[in-house]
Amino acid sequence: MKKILVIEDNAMVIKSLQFKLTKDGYNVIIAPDGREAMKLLKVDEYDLILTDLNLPFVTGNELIAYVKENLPAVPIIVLSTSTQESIIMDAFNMGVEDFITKPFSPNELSLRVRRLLS
Amino acid sequence: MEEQSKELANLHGILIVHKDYDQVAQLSLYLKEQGYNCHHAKSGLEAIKKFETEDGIKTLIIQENNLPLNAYKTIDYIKTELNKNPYSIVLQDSEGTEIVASQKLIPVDHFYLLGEDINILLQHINNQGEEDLNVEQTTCYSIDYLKEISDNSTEFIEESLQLFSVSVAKDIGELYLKVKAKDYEEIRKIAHKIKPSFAMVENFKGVELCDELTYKAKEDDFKKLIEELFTEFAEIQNALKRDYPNLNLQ
Repeated sequence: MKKILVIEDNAMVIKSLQFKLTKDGYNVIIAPDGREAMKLLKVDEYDLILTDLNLPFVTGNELIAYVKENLPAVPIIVLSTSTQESIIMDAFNMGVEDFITKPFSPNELSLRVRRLLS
Repeated sequence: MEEQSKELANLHGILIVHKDYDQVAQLSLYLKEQGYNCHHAKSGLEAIKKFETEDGIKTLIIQENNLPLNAYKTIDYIKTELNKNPYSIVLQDSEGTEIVASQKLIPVDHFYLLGEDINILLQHINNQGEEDLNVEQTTCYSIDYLKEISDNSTEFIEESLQLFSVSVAKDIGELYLKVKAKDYEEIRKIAHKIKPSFAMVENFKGVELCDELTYKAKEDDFKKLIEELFTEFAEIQNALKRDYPNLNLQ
């Protein structure tokens, strides 16, 4: 079973992601903030990372930089409420594989995750 | 018009709760003259007993600072524990009564200051009666998105609504603390975090307010915007309490 690390601090979004991705057959691990995510990334392996950008303690951008440097094979999807072009472009420039705006379309999420994990 | 009002009045009873009947005698007599069935209780506990045993009471007019259960606790109990939804009017004895945030969340339909023009109160009661005849609840939220995500899972939807209620209340509480501390950067972060919660229940006013707080607000705007966001949240919360009494939302 593919393992996905979700880094998100909004309880409702966490619940939705967990419900949808579990239903799609993935093992979902939740980190409520960037610091917790960093700890998890150091002790376990993941097939995909889904992360918010505005996170407590360690920002999404710091986390992306860490993953791209230390775990370059793990694809990243950014989940953000922001639709600002500059923020989206910055994320892609840092090397993320995809960008989804919140609230996400459940079918779109399934497709994009499947594409990166196939 | 007057005839129609009296017809509507005959359809429902009004319970007036006040520790001192003399204070509300004039109000009670006036409503009786308009054709309403007026009942009287001295306390919130007595009011709850009446709601438990009688079905015809559609309007509750209750003294704000009644002991041991004040108006808000009584209304909350009647709505959440007895699953009854009377039109609720809080009677205020003086204009200076302070309503704390947690009380604002209790679904009160109208406030009436004793001594004010009774016709204004009557108008509210009459309007409510007319609304009763074409029951069309206003919608400040929608569960369509939650249905879409979960393929209509009732369990998921109800748990999500509970999460909305608890997490947004906590975050808005944080916003009030941060505005007091003038920590505007933190306010922007919290508003950004709350935004998807409003989006997921499809309250777009809340989404806009979060965006304003996150991206546009200047120092002088924060307090007002937070108040507006709280009002929006309270409206959703009250609607959820009405629509999902089984969730026991606080």
